[in-house]
Amino acid sequence: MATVDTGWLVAAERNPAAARRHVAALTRVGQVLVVTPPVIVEARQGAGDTGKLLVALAQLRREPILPEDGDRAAELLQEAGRQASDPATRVRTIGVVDALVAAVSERLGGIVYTGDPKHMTWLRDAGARITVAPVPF
Amino acid sequence: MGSDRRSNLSATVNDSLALVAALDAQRQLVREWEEEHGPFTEDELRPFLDVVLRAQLETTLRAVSEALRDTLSVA
Repeated sequence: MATVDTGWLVAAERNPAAARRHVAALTRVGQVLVVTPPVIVEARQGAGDTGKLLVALAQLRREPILPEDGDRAAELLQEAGRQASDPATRVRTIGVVDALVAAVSERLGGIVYTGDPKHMTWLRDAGARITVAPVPF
Repeated sequence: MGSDRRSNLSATVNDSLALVAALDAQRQLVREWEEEHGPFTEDELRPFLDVVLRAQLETTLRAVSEALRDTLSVA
């Protein structure tokens, strides 16, 4: 399975045809694309066109957040903060949603398609066993 | 087989079936798009397949590297 962050949904809302091609490519190699509740909330809050966003969301399998994902996200944020000269700013910049995406991705196989590779790279450097793949469209 | 192992096996089988069902649903979605818009061409999919396969390869290499590290640390 591969996980998406909010950036993937924003890109899919802007370019639905490319999002479909990405899903088709994943399907061809047997990978399922999943989305988590906090990403849905963040994307819906920022959506320019809710209808297009809902179409993009309908392409994705919904994956729940487990309590252990919360624990892991907290550990990753803490470590990412430790690795920065200004820990509080680093933790705030990454945010809870991306930390949860990294934790869920680690649990599900480790690939994240992200619109913000910097945040995911910080989390990977903090120990998340994830592959950071920029949104390819 | 002990009850722990049976329960783990059961969870693994359930997870695998859920994954197969999710992949089937995604395949069905792609079939519907192809009926609506025509089949995806190789040229359309190639750049996306490159990205998807690169991510998959990187993930596999990381898993192998972690397994090797674990093996060496035990030895």
